[in-house]
Amino acid sequence: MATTNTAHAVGPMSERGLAASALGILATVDELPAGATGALRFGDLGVVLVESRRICWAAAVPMRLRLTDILCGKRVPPIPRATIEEVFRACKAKGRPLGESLVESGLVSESGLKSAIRQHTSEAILHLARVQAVADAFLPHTQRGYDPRFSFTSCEILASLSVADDPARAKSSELELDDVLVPESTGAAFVRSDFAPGAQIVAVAADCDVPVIDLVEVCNWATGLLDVVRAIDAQVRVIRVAWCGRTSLVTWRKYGVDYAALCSSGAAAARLVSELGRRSHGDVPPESLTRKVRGP
Amino acid sequence: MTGSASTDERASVDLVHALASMHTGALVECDATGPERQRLEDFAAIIPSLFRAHDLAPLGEVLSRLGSEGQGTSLREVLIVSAEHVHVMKPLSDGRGVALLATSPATNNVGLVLSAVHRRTAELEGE
Repeated sequence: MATTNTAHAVGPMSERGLAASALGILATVDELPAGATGALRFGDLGVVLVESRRICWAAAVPMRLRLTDILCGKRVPPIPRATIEEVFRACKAKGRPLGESLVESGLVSESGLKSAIRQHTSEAILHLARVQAVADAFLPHTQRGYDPRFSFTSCEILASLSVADDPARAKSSELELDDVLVPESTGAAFVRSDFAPGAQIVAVAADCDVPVIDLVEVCNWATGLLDVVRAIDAQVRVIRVAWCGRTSLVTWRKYGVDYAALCSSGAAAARLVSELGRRSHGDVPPESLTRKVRGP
Repeated sequence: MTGSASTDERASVDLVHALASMHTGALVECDATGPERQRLEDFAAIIPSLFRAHDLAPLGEVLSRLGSEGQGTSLREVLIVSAEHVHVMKPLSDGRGVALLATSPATNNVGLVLSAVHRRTAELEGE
């Protein structure tokens, strides 16, 4: 493991550098031994808690209380900060899992809590990436016990890093993946980054556990494939590339977002091609998906 | 001979095909003419940029990790379905670096198009 990290201030990073740094952190998680449980330490800059290559929590030094802020905003009207902090204190005193207590208290739904933890974890990893933090140690835990409902694959966190750019696009891409993917397939939605070369992952299938480096490589190739094929047939609906054995890549484009499905069986690929080939849609997105929520 | 479908295939699938070099993107054999030949030429022309060996190997490895042990990592087939056409590219396994290209109207059943392509590939590999 690299040992180059200490707390150090760095200048403003390019978006390209930021993407590469975030990818590096997530790739480090993917490279941990399959059943490893513990804390991936980034010097004194922060920590990522991992169980079996799933990310359970991340913290970066300046954002210790961020989860409370996110949870407060999960309801309308906002949950009073003091109410959440009271639950935190009670959990600490009784040694109870925080997530379970928050859901039991009715302050937040299970999906709301999952979404809040994912947002917090993504922001922490983005912060670590911004300061170019490098993991210097993995501190194994002797016991397992993270709630799998509230942990995430590296791919899921990678997709979350782009949500703030365009939440509507992220949501519609998630829905498209949910709608189209079949058993024995997983996949991702991606766009060209405005700032860096290559694909920017904006959504992934639930529990997509492909190593992030592999996923980005597949998406980069797929976007080139769609571009080139469109040069000879502008009305392309779906492309399937089959490898020896049963694995296939199925790729398509909808409303300016590209999709790649990785299929581990011929039947899964055939079902996707059949469904997508029947579609008849233009490539002009509804107005609600074209509004840029946050400027470049 | 490569260019148009054989009579029994024509009865069920309207298909034109050709052989193309995967290295140069040039048609090696093609009897089709007019717009059908143009479509095959256009299709052939994109092959080298997409399927260079150094691009495909890692991608095949990524995909093979999803499947069962011992699966190969070489390209088997490319299928493109558009509003108007179905295009198929299938490399021949005889080591010549040549692929069979086929184009059919989208009104044809994709499964029948693939069956016709597989049948033609088997014939060519048996020659």
